[in-house]
Amino acid sequence: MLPLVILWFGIGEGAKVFMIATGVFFPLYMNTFHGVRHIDPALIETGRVYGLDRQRLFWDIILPGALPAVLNGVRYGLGLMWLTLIVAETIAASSGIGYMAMNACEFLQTDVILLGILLYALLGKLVDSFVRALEARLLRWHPNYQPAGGRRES
Amino acid sequence: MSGAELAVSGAGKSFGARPVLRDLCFSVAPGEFIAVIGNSGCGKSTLLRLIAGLDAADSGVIAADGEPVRGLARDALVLFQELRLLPWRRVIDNVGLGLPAGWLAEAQRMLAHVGLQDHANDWPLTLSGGQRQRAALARALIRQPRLMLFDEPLGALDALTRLEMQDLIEALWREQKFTALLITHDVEEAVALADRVLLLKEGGITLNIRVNLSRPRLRSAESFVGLKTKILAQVMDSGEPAPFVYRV
Repeated sequence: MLPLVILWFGIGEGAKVFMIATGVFFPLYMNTFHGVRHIDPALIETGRVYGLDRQRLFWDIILPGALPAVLNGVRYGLGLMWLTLIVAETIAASSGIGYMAMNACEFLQTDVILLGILLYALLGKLVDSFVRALEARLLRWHPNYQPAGGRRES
Repeated sequence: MSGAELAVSGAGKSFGARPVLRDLCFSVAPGEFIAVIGNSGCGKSTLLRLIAGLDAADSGVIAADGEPVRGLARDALVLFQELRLLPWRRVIDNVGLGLPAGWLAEAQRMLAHVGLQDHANDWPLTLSGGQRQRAALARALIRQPRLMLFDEPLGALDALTRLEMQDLIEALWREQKFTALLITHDVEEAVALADRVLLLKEGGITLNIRVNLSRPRLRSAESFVGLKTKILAQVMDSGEPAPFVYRV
């Protein structure tokens, strides 16, 4: 796809954004779809019995019910995002960390290359930690997301 | 707030070619406690879903207070066996589910009423079976239903918790005076709680027996045991030899 993207968008921000957006779309979409699909129909029926309108049904049942899968998609998508970004920056960009590293490669600047790798690793870890914290906060109710030892037998 | 009157006349329901309920007729007086018993697969839960308005009957009319039930009945609430608490909402928020703003104080009062005041901020998945039951009961009763439909709500509880919950349901029923319809396969539970016991067999009512025992009912009393034995004999008597016999 890369040659086509370069042809269409040239070398620059547009190409990067397009590549990442298309790459991330499907894991996000598939996971969200899966999450909504797998909500217990009994709970949706309960929502109807308790008189929830469509809006309340979405906020009270569908969104929280699909959230574990949605967040899973977000984490996977972020991983893919970094991968695509690195590829895009090393090949189809005129700026960025990847571009810097590729430039350094031409001039045999090992220290700059290592700095690039380190920066990517750091950013990746940072973003992943953020989503994990989000998971821990939003999925507090879920026994599988409890901190170890916090689970109670029922 | 008094209980709803319920009249089922000629109700029938089939799934595909298989009739589940046929020509069912019975009525329930306001505030009466009815138990429907029967073996699994006899159509008990189907009957409950028809009365709740969750499914539509193929034939016949189900009327609450003289008005035919169409769609979800507003004054009727169902307590399902699997309870259906939202796992991602705290207990107190489950009780207030779908209520207009300003329900908090009432929800706290209701939770205290069922003995769960200390668990208002717990997640449903951390509660024990009996506690979840209480939470689901509080969620239903805060809306002051005129007709409560119990779909084997105590089936999955251990024997002791079960007795406790039966007492709680009886106490709440006497206090709020709603009409109650309890689906169960436990004859003792039916005799302990109900004013009248209906036996559902092969889609029809084969027994309609009044329980004339004063409350609270002593399960060891001779009259209680006698009635229970009599109904149990009717439940077990299928009229044809059972295809499988399990001996212990």
